[in-house]
Amino acid sequence: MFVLGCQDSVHHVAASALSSISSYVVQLGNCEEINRLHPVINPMLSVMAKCLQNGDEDLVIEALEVIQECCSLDQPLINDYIEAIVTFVMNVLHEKDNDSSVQQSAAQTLMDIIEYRPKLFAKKNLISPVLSTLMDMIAKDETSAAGSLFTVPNSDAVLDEKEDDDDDFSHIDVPKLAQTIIDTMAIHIPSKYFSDPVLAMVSQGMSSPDPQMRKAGCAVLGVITEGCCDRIRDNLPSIVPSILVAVQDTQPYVRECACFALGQFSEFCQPEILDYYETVLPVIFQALDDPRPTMQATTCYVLEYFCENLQPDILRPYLSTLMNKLAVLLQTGDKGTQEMALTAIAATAVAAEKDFLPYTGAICEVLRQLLFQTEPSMFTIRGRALDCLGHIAVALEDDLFTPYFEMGMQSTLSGIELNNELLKEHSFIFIANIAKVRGKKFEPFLGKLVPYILEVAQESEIFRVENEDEEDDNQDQDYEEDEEDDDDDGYRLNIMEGFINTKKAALTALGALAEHTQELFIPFLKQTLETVVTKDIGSIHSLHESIRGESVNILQFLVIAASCYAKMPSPKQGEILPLDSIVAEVTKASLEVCIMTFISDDEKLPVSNACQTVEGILENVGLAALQLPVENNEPALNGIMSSLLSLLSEKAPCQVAAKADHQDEGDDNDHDQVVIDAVADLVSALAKYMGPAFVPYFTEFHKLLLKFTKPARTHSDRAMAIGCYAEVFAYIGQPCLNFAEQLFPILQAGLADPAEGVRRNSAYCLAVLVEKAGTALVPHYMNFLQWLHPVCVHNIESKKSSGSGGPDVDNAIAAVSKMINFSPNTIPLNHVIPVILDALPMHGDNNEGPIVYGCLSNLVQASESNTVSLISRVIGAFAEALSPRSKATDETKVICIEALRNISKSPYSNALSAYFSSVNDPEFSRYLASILN
Amino acid sequence: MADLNATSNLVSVLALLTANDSVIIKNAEKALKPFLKQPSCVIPLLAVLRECDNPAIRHHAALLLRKKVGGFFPKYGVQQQAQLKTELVTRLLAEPDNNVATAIAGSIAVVAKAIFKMNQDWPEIFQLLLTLAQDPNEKARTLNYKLLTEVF
Repeated sequence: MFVLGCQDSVHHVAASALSSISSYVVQLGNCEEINRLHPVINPMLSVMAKCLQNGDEDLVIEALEVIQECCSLDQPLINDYIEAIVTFVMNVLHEKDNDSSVQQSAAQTLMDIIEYRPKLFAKKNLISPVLSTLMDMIAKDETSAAGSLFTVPNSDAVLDEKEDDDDDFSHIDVPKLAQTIIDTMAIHIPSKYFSDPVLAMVSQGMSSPDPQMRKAGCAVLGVITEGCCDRIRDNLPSIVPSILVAVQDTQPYVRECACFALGQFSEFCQPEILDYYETVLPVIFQALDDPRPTMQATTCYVLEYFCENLQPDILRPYLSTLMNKLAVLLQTGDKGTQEMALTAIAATAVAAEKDFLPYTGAICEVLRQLLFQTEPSMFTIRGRALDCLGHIAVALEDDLFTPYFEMGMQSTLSGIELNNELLKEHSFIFIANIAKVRGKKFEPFLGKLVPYILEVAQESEIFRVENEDEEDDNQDQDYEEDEEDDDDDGYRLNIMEGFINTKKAALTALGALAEHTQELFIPFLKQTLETVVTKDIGSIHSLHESIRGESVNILQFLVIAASCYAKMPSPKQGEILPLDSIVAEVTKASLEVCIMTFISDDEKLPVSNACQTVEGILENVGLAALQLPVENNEPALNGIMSSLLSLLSEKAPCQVAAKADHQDEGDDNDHDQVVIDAVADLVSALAKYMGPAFVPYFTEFHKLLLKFTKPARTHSDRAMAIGCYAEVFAYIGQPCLNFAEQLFPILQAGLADPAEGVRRNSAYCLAVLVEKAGTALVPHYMNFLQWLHPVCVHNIESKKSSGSGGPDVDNAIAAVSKMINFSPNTIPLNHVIPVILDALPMHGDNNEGPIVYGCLSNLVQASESNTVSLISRVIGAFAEALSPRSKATDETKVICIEALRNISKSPYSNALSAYFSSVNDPEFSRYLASILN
Repeated sequence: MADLNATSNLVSVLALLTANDSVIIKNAEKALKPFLKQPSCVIPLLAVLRECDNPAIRHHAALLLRKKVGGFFPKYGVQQQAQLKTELVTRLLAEPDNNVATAIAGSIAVVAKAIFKMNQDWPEIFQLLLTLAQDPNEKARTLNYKLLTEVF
């Protein structure tokens, strides 16, 4: 009947049939019977096409919504029709004359297909044609595509070409829609299918003579960065130079989009992008001089993320130029640019730390002008100024920030009184930052602030609405009072972004106050705990993921406050400390919440935070926490371990929700950026506190962890799993031998992996095995050396030329050094010592210094012939670790000083004198001479 | 107060619902309230559908019928139920106005749901749907899908 209806020659009969199908699909929902509708899909699409021609957009939207509904079902009804549906929606999107609401619905349909059937979408070869069309749409649009996903503040002022008005349905922002779809593709479609075609198209676009195509290429590159960050990280050496050329393009839109892409790299490709600071910063500085406000604001966005993770010594040579340029932007009359400049200054302050001091006075004077604005249109910039001040506080720390503390608190307190969501949010963030800086000195403010913050954190997310249509509706009203199907009780969920962010910030502030004022927070502890955990109404039961995430996150800080109050000592491995009643109460409630989150939350952020909270609790309370009775009076340990099994199986609710793709089994999923690393960290933390008692549990986890090490998994998965093995082995000691044989082939492959992270963790894991196994693994040493050798010599040349990288080499020579320490006679030192010396100094993992330099020192002490035959180079290595540019740890330096002193008293003192006299830097020469006295 | 079980009185009150004055509408609704609480209200409403020439009034009658008939249907005797089903189908087929026909289709759907809820069957409705689907008259075919939509 449906097919007959859709094929009816009279349009409105077909349209009625379409409407009828829509109702039927919605009614059937997820039951298997829905699959009987297979024959209806194609006729339905035909009617939709006719409806479009006849201007019946509402019906097309209704039908598209039904397809969206079908996407979310487990039933495979639409699977065989994906190509036809995608063709239809792409036609809708591509046809400029279509109504914008239909285009938006078509875009939503496409995004739902991509989200729920990512692999099917890929396997049906839809990626390239869809990408090509979308990129074409971006290219053909006459406006800039930069900032479509990244919002430039006050965009109506800075984007002078058009207004960004979501309520204006007569206009649709084509680049924005296209970029949103591409973003969805990048996030949901596994890299294995998506990265190659998209990067090829981006490269083609960026090298095109047509500036519109260059613009589109850069815009797409920026948009896919989050979803393809693993792949882009690997390709930064080839991508960064191209994007820097584009930042300097002659066409402003190309420059803007390239800058946007660079901002995305800075946000999502940390820390690898920082290796390019020498080439990136000069280009960014030049971009800051661009007269276009959009370009200035986008450049500030790059700086925000690029600078915040730079080390002070790297930033130092650039700081003055950077601050001068940002100060100029801060003085512009453009509010959007000023806001972005404030954000960039805040990030710069955090990176510069105390180097920021010379700029503090002048910047704080500018902030003072903004911090007390009472005009609502200035609240955004006032909030940003307060954020900036908070970051400066974190950079300078307590004493140096003291002169500005009062100004910040006055702005905070008066901002709260203005009862504006935005100002409240920024005030709470400032409180969190300042609590970190002031610590217990913040106590005088607790009594006034905490009750208010609690009130905000307790605000109901449900509100009552008045029915405004009541008076106008003269048909259906008043007859329903005796009917039971009236579900509209006038209550609504508050989904306002400002409300959500403010509530989340209130929770952050409470957590920071508990963490940093410690036992002084006790008067508010119980109420704060209740605010989070109370059944049904606590913030942990929020309908908003970010609020649940923050709620579970701050519980660890409440445990810190309780532990400090009870004066608990730091727990040690295997030790069960007696728990004070308040510590037990807070810990028990917190663990109950964490376990509930593991078991039932279908979002990853709260689960990831729950892992971190359990880890935090272990650090403060130790094993005693795991014995507390929770659900069904069982020890918390059981719930945590079973949850970890589920998470490592990738079957927890947060890992399976929103996956209707029946192609989903297999190893081609991308690395889970949110939850799985936190799970691995928690496994390590449990091993740390349980020690050998963790072995029975790890035997089960190991079976699941192995699958992450497979070659088919992403290198981030492999690095994560091998790193987890290493950490656990370090804590469980000799029982690590139970797993060694199974790990050997994995480590052998890992040491030959193209990804440095995998090589690094494999080398570290091997080093841990060598250390913990004692002499048990000596028979394997020659094999280990063969596996390690390529890593030791792998990037020595590149490392020396770029002056960066090489933690894999550092870990590899540390593993070799440990083998030498255990069994020098089984190691061919004549081959090995030169390789170690070639690999020094360390560049990536300086924590391994004591092992490596200690090993060399021991060999010299023992007058080992192969080592002393290279004594000049050995002396050079020790001295290099002490040089002004050395990044060696203090422990390493102590070892090197001691080694040089010993050499000075040995038969090799002549070599030492010869080396000292060859040092050109007189200051360093004096230093070297001084350490021998 | 006039007896609304009499078709003419009911038509007069329903006519007030079409007024442009919200006060008049409110008064009409007030008058209808006690009448609509009686299970017997269905019969005069059907009579309006059958006898009234004004489509706007018939539309109001059909809408009220849709609102009330589902709740009252299980309370009727077997014979009354059979009569009601037949009469609704008859009215649907006879109704010349599209909006009214859609509202009657809604009433039929509500009755069908009530029947299915009682684990009973209404084979005639499927027969009706099949007949309508193949009717040469496009209005009937359209009505078929509207009825289907309502049943779902």
